Amino acid sequence: MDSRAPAVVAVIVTTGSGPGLEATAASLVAQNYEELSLLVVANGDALHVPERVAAVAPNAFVRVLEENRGFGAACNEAALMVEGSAFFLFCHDDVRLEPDAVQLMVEAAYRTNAGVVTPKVVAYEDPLVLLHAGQTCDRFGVTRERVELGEIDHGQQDLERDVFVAPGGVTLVRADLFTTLRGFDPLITLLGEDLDLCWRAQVAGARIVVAPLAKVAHRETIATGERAVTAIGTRRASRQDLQRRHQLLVVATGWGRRQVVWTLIALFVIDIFEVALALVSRDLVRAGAVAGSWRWLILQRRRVRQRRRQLRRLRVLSDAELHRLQVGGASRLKHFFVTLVREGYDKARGILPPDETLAAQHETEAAGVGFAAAFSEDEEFDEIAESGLLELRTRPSRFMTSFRSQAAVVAFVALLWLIGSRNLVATHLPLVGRLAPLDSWWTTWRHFFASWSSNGVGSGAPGMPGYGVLAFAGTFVFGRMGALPRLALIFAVPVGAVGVSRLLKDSASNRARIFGAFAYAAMPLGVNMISQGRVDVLAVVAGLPYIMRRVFALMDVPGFRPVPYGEPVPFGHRGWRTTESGQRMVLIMLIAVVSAMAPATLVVVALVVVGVVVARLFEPDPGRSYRGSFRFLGALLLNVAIFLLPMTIDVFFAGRRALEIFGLARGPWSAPSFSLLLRDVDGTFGASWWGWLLPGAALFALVLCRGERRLVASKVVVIAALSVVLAALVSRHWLGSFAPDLDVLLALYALALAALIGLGIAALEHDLRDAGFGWRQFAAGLSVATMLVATLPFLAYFGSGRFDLPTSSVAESLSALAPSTAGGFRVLWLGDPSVVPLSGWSVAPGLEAATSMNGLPGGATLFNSPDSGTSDVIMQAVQSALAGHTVRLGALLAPAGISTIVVMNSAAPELTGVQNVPLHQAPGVLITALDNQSDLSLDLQTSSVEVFSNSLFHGIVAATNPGTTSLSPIFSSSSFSGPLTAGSTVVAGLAPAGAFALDVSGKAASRSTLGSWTPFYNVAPAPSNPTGTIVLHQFPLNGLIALFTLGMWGIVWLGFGWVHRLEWLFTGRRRVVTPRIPKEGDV
Amino acid sequence: MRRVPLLLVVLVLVAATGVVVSLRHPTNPSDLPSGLTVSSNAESTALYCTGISSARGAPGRVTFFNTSSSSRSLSVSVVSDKGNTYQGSIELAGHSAQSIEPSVVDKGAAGENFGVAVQISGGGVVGEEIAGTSRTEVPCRASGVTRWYATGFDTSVGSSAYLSVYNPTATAAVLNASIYTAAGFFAPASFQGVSVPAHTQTEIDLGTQVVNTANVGVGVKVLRGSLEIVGVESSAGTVSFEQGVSAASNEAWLPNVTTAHSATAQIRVANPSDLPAEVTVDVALSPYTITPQTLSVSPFRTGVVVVTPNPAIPAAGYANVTVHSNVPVVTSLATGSGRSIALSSPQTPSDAFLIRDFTGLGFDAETLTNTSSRTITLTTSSFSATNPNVTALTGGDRLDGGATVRLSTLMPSVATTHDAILITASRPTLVVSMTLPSRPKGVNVVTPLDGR
Repeated sequence: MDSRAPAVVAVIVTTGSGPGLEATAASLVAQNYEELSLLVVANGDALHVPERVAAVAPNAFVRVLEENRGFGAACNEAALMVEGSAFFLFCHDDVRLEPDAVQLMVEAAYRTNAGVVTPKVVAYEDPLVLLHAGQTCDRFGVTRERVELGEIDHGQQDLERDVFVAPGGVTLVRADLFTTLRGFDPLITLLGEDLDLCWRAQVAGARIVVAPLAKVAHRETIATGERAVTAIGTRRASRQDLQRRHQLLVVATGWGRRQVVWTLIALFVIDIFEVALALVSRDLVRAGAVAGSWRWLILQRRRVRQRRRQLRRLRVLSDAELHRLQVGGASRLKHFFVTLVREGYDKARGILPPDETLAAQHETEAAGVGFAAAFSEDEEFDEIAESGLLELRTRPSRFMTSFRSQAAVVAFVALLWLIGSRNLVATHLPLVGRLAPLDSWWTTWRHFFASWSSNGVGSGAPGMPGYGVLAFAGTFVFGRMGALPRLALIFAVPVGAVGVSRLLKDSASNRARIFGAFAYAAMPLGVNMISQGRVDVLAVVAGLPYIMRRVFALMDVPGFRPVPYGEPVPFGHRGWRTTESGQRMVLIMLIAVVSAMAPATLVVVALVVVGVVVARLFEPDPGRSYRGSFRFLGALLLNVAIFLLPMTIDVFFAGRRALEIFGLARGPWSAPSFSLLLRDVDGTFGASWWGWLLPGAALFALVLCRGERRLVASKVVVIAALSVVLAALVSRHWLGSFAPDLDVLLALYALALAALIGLGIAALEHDLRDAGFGWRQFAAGLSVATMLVATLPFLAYFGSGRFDLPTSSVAESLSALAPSTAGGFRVLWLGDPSVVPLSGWSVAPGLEAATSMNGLPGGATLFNSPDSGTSDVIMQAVQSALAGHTVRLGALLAPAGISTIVVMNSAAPELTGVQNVPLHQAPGVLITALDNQSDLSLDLQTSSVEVFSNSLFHGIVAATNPGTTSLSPIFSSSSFSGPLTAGSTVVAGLAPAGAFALDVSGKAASRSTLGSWTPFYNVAPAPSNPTGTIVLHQFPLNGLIALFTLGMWGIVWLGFGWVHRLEWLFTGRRRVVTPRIPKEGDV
Repeated sequence: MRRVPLLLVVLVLVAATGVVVSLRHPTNPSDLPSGLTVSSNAESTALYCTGISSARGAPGRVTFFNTSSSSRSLSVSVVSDKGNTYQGSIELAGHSAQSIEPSVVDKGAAGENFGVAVQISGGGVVGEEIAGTSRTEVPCRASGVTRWYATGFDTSVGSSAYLSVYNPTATAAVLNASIYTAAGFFAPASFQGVSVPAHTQTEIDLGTQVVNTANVGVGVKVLRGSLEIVGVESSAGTVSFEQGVSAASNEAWLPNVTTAHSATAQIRVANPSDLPAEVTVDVALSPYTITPQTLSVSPFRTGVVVVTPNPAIPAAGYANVTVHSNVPVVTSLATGSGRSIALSSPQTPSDAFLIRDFTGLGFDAETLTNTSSRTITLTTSSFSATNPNVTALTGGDRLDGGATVRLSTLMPSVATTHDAILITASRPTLVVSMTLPSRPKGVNVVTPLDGR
């Protein structure tokens, strides 16, 4: 009976000694496929080949070629000799086929209508180890195995499927397809001919299928270097050379016109990167191979054009269709970065085309991995199996995954931080930013309850809640108020970093949280605020992460409320804190505390809520709505306003200055540029190129996130954008008097960047493994690298031991300028709000006016009511000078007892090589205006400060003697009491006028204002030597308001279960605690 | 998921903000508002004048004019170069004028040069200092300067030039003065760190350092405080005031440059920058077309373009001269007859000028020039001591771009009035220039008052 099986011609190409030729021929002879003919092509050196073949396959044909032109050329030659064959089976001379291999491959070819069929290839020495089950490749022609190195064949790959490349060794090709493709390209002598043939076959629309049941063992003597490459034209080329140039040829000819340009450009960039790395690591072979491949391609440009023309005629699949059959991204880069992250640079640079490193791995594989190894209990086995070319998804990096390593790193960084802040512990703190020396614990409480403050020309506005917070905090340091700013300087950033870690608690691993926390600490803002003494902003830096976490939780941002709120519990009972109401109250109190220190926190909270809403508009959270968010925000702000009642009252009565509660407008000319804002820089730290690293890492991180992390990242990035945009608008003074503190806005931006970095690390751990390799992996590597580099500049700042906080300040250097006169005096401080060391009011953009009484700023000038009240006289006088409307500013300021005007351009003097401080120039017109005043004289002029003295100064409290008009200072400057002249008129620069009275020998003197804001007191002619005292007569409304506020805080605090806990205080018996039985589903 | 749109929106938002923010470079304003408008509702203003001399029996004087309709109290302080100070007060009725002669106040004390400081309760008062010859006058300043440039001074035989420096403030001032000549730049040691105590007046004689040199430029940098500075040129008995400028500029307009026979007119240029200046002088003299004159001035040097006599420029009345330079330069106009010259500074374009005949000689030419290419609208009004209200004279007159018009054309009655005239323009591109009657014509150029 005639066979109906299609004819197959097996072509064995043998070269040189061909150590496995007999085995190859014998295995083909042993095939159970009847219509199989054997043709052996002796490529070049044909010594004893006919005899050797005849010994095992007497029916085989032997064709001897004079020259070794390569495997492809030999196959082409063989194909020309054969007619009528349906298939060619191209075999290397170092393979061994299972007896049914050809039959199974032919069957698969018919079953799947494949043009090319490849068998399952196993190791020659250990058939249980898989070498190939077909291959795929990326757009750059880099092939990628479908099996892992050393993978044991359990039949897991025994599924017939399409592959992109049929790896050389044994390949069944349909004869008509081979003819159509014009066979192998003779230009490709060795290494890469399989990729080329398969690529062209794919373009021509042929399927390439792996038939895994057909099993072939392959020694791969050429690829592993066991046998030398002897083909013509390859003598001086290494395997890398051949592989790289052939890959490049395939890529340059395999794509359509448009695609090839983009692909070659991308490949060129990648190759430059690889060459640079190779040169750095002195891997000249690789560098030469990469560079040589491009040179070779240029030399072969004619052939390239020819091939492109040929392929164009054959083209069935479009580029897009072809690319869909490939893997995405760049395999070579992926391997590099994955290994770089996990194994280090030395390993990473060795993963490129199989060379010595790969060979060594093969050796290791052959020596140690076998069937038995698959069941080995030795951990080394796993290490071997997972090392090298494995995907990241099989084993995430173990760097910093154990508790011990994380704790060690955290401890190390904490130690570094403490070393860096060692000189903040005990040495002198300069009078910069908000580092004015605090008053005693008791006096600070008094500021909170005070009916009158000396700010400006005096104010009866309620005391700012910041004093209450400071005094309360002072309780925990046993009244050592001086410790508070030091604690803030040293611990605010670390506390904030811990907050970032908590923020990411349910969205990222511990490792990612640590990275996020470190990123927050490394943000320039924190260090700059320390160096500028901005304790108020540091309070925000410390508290904001906790606020954001709670806002996210209450707005039901995915991943931020892992546990549902507890069942409603009555106010005051245990568990109320865990209810939604309790959580809201915690958030409100937290915001209130931070806002008391820096009211711009309220703006930041609003930005967070708006950011979530905006993000939800574009990317709705499943099952969550943005409706009600603004009601939530309104409720938050309203409650905070109640908790900060004194401040709310101040704002209510502040009129047009109400918005100044959030901050004063800085001079656009000295505000950070947009570039600096993007780097989160307001100061000297981070203003160089490396300041871009952390924002860059955050940006990369942003694109890595997927799934739930993506939803969170979207919100965070919107918040970051809103904060930086608002900061930019504020810095240019484009929002009028609404000028929230720039640094508070930057604190939010810093937090958003740090959160993004943390999320990015989490994405590296989880999301990256789900994505095809490409730019994401590149971005990942880059972001990790930038993060590490970004933290290095910190080391330079550790040197000073005080994060470059100046050792001296401008203000302190002026203490000698204070006049030692009776009656007291005021100093008017003018300058950019960022450098004036006390709280004041805005006169113009970049110009704050504030006063201190009897010398330098102190604890009484830390917070200021936005309601300027009578103090407007000072602002109006300065504005009048700025407008050129007066040349007698001294006369206008004299009633307020202003003796000195200090114009500050920086908070501290610039000392070359010692301290570097940012210069924030006051408006230039101010100096011009002050220079023009006829009653002011310039006493001191430096780049940091200009000091003018008022020639018409007469003290805060002055008197005119009978018959004269000139004013002379009277009374003690501290107590406003002392001897008087009978019949004199006393004028006091204290506002409000109605709140003060002059007690003359126990009787109140008559008071008038004479159309002025200052009270005038007429001293009676008798007795002849009276003594007087200025006394404050004010109903203690401010104290009552403060008391009410404190009481409210106390009541709410009791609500967190303390009513329940302290029940015995009121009832006299202890409450019996009933153990709570956990319900099903409770966490 | 609509992530790309969100990222796109965010990216566009941030990028747009960045672009918009970066496009505008905020500058730190350093100039005080000045002029009548500012002063009208001022609490107090001041006027500072210096350069007034009692020399040669023709004492200079200062005339104050109240542009407001309310009376003003003036507290006058006269300081002589001998250190004597005199205080006095003047009550100036609305729209009225009053002069003081410092040499009369200082009679017997032998002071030769004087500084005058006037503090006014309120605003709206302007002052003009007039040389004893009534051939030159410059406005008093409302504030001191910290930078001052002038050029064109002659120290050749028969001429002298000095800077009259007055410190009206309570702060001792310090200045550095630099000299530019055609031969080069130098900063004499005696001109460095010059201290001017508070409320004192002093002179810096250029002739002590620059001998027998024509066209001397001066740059003054006030290191501390602010000063009132006026350059005084005395050339063959002709005294002229050079008010100077606080900054060099790329353009200067000199609308009334004489081309009369036997007159001389030179455009004198100093280049205070470190780049060579290529200066082009365009001379417009209807109906002639005149080739632009060019001049190269090396860094820190001076140069001169002769307009009259110049064979390329016919003698045909007043020429309208415009100076352009590739780098900021300082320009002055030197006019005269025979050996003497008088200096005057170009006028800075503005939207308001105040013209008043402080010398009583009347004006030979009063021209209005629109320095821009766009048409402006002019309005004129007058102040009269007899009329408390400001009288509108003309309104809505249009002046084409680049055009020059005589005030008498615009307002024929101007020749007969002695009132002050306020000219306002719709855009700050107007330059007003006046010359006093002289023979030959146009050698005494008067700087009008800033009317803002």
